Amino acid sequence: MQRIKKLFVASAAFMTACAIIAPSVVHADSPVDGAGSTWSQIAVDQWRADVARQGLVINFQGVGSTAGRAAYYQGQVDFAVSEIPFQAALMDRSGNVAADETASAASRPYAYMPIVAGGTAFMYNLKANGQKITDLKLSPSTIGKIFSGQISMWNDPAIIADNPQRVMPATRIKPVIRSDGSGTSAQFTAFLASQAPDAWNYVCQQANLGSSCAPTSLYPDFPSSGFAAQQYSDGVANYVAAPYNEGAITYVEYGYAKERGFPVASVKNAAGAYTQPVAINVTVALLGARINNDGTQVLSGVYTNSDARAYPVSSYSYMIVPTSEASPFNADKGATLSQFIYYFLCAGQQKAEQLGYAPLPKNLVEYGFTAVAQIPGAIAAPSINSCANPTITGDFLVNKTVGTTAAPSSNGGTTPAGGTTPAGGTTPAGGTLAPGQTLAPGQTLAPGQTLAPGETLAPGETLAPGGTDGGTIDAASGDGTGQTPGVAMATSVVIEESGSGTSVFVYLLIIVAILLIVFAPPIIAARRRPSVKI
Amino acid sequence: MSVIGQSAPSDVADKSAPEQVVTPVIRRSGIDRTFRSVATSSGVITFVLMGLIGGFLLLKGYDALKVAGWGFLTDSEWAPDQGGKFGIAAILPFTVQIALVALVIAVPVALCTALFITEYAPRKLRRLLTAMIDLLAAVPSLIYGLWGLFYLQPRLITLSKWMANHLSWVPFFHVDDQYGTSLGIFPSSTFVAGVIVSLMVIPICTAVMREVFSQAPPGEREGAMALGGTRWGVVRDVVLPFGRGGIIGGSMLGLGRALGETIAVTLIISPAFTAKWSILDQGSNSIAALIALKFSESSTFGISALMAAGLALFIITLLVNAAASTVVSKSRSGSSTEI
Repeated sequence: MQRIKKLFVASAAFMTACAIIAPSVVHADSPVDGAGSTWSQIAVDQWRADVARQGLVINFQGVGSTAGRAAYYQGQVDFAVSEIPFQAALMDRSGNVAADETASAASRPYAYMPIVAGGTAFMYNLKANGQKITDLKLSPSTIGKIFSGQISMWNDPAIIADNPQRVMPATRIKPVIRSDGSGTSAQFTAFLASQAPDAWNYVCQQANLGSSCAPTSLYPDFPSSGFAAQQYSDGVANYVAAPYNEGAITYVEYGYAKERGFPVASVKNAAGAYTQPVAINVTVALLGARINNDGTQVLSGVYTNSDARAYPVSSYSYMIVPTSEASPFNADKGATLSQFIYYFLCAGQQKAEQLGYAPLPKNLVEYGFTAVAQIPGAIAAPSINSCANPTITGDFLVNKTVGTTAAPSSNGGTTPAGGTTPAGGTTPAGGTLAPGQTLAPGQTLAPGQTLAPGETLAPGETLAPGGTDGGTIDAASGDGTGQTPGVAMATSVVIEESGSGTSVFVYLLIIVAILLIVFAPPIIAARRRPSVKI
Repeated sequence: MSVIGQSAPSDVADKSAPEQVVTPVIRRSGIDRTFRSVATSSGVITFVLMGLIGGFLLLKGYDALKVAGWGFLTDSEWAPDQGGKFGIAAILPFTVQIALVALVIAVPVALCTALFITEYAPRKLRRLLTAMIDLLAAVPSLIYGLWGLFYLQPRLITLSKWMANHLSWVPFFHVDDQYGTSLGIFPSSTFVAGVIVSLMVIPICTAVMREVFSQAPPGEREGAMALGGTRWGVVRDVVLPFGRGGIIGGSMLGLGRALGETIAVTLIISPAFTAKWSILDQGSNSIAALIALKFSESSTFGISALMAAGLALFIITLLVNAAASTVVSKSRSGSSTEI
């Protein structure tokens, strides 16, 4: 009896605690509903929680980009978030129109605007002579060959050409793709279609989709590929990280690789430098984004951004906002929505890096402002200079130096972030090192920079573009940052656990909770009952 | 079915003028009538639901079926949203393969467990085991899936590899050596998915079988003993023949769950779209998993195609259950385990 009482008191206390912690409901006149991308959901959820404190009620359901777009043109939600724009007419095999999103959406006028930016990383599991390789470099065309199954061994000449610094092992390449529909797939296939068209068309042909096909959220399945496909970012990352999957490589958000202590490939940009998918490099790349008249993105300027810092596989997802008062939208909702947008385009972007994304650069923020102006009932935009976006306030681009290569500290703590221990084998791309010189992880050389023989970099020292050692690269933000201490790739992104059911820990908690629910009642009941006969 | 036939007119008859009734007059109080109608409508709901689900799937899937035609049964690709072909020629066999692997493991284990509980276990252990089996049957499939993914899968692939190396003369276990039998080709296979599904099927099968075995007539049991039969003799000649319906019923219930299992399969498999015999190497699929994986990023047409696949699964499950129930209804214990 005593025990039951205790249990009861404990659970009552728990309930009370929950009730106290639960946020008081803010009453707002016009809550705004949205639906769409799961890729962007982590950021959107954070931002709507932030504005909820100011009384703005924004609801968002992460149902997937395509479902979000459908919900928009069916008038179920006020706005949608999607990685790809409304799709043109889709012909079925008999030549009839099977689905036409653009036509469906025409009845409800809309505008596209940028919402979340991020890079697609290439996480891999590769060893040479029992040592984990952490400095893999890939060019876009090699990435295309890998993810189209055109090359199958890690010591393929194409990969060796990208990695002259080391001997590649004769391990089979095992590309891992997403089995479910995903924004990561959409962004990656858009990159492939633009920068490795041969490889992408090869994929389309192998999958019987014609000589070429549009980028898609569902990576095409083709039988002979030997690819593995897994569900969720978590799934592909776990798969690659499994000890028995040596040789595996996948496209996934950077945070998932970091969480597991696995390296991601440095990708070659238009300047010939190999860069890591850290937030700053993504943001720099997105400075090259152009916008079509209809608001859709033109990312070829991002993929081929000639800034030495740019990470080529960078992209942003759209918010689709209504530009008419067609049901269910109205001017009151417009006011709420516009305030939300101003928040996330400006101050909200300060959190982008923590959440595993990259802040939107000024050009895209300005474009967002022009899109908001079309929303009925929108309040006037703040001046662009008062926008607290870190790329506009200058916190972001100036205070950080930029790496062209970086080895994440993944091998058992011998190479701590900040580079206090020189590690052999880390060579910069583009830059030249005299024989015998080494750079610590996190130390970086811009392309074209040279270290004189005998010269060494102090631990933690960074050669910034335009910095001290006679660098020739002109970078807008490089002035006076030659000695920025302690800035390195491995520390520049702090990723919180994110994603759909991200961590094993959460899974375990859920399991324990459910086991308790299942086992506790009968055990308690059995003790309460003196004898039961069956 | 008979319930509907009788009750609907009789309710009407109560309100209408007196009529010629051959059967004895039954006076029904208000509360009696109320309960009767509640119970009847609950019974009818089963049929309505069944019809609604089937009709809904057909309606939603019609667009895609119209486009695919017979190709829906003969094509193995799945690219409705990219203007490509789509069909269940590969997905359906994979679905059945996973379910069969699950049953091949689950049925013998469940049968032996049920026999042990009813025939051999001491009373105290019997109580505990029964409770545990019922509890296992109540564990959500997500839990089995996660446990299978994080715990069982990495360990099971060693067994897969051993089977591939030593039992490759069995057609199902033959692994194409194109990439060598490194452990990496085993984790996302039909076999691993089937084993994990079998774990969720075992408790259900066991529960049904145990229930039936425990109802084996004590008179016959004791008679067999009195004639000098051994415990095994009793099991073989009394319990098993009596429980045939329960064995089949339990297996079919398990098959139904195995065919429709979603989360665990989705977590494990690497979807493949070419049918194959080998169950050990990477690549498998199931209709339920396909729907779960593709749903969020499918256009209206893609969803229509998924609904058509769902319809196929629905029909197959119905057929299997119908076949099983005819077998069961002919057995002695049939009445207690109708499915």
